Amino acid sequence: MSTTLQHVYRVYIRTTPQRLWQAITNGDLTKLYFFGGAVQSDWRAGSAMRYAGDDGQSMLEGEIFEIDPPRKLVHSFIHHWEGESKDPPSRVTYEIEPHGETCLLTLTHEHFAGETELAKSTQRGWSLILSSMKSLLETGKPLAMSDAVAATA
Amino acid sequence: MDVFKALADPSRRRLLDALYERDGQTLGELCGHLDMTRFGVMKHLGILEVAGLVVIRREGREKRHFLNPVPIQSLYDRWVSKYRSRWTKALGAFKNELEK
Repeated sequence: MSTTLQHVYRVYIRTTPQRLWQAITNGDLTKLYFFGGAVQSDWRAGSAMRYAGDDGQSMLEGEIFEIDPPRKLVHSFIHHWEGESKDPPSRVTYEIEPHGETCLLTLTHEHFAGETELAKSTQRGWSLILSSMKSLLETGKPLAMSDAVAATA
Repeated sequence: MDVFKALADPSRRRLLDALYERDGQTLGELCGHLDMTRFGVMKHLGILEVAGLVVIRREGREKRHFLNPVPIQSLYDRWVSKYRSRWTKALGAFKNELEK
């Protein structure tokens, strides 16, 4: 049995699998809800991906392990932001299941070394990201991340 | 709303606290945090699952329980951050940029 820590997030979003997939893989959209990070990749298995900040620097990098639009995306997760433990690469899986007029998005973040500082901070981060993504897809407006970040800091 | 009802019970809040401390615990491990029968703990976990606050996954012979913080964040966003954003409007250049 695996002893590495994982976190699991689930959110129902009123949208289509295609729009949800686009929200995950289009940098102009991720910029609106992913702490300003624009995702970039050619979206093939084995390719690199990264989230670039306004200054063009990578906030987050990874390699795509598995990609099956609009159902599943698996990639490694190596963060470049300051002030948190440099854990070994972890792994993120997005799974999209249509449920009538909504989609169930399940995000699994695993292979943490334990409840590390990074594991805890990603728990706050994904809550904000997924909640903002839901808001963007359902209302056309993301959350005001600056407020959300200030409130949890 | 299910989330409020789920959070209204102290035993269920204790289970969420236990998962916040260490995510992915089994039923047996979670039973150690509460002075009640296994069946009682299962019932509480069922309510938390329906409310979306806990995700239960089968792993081999065991079921593991994960804290899902997204519904709480969404509640927060719906009310608290809305009011906060009024307060911070004066500083709002960055916010407006994000909401374009």
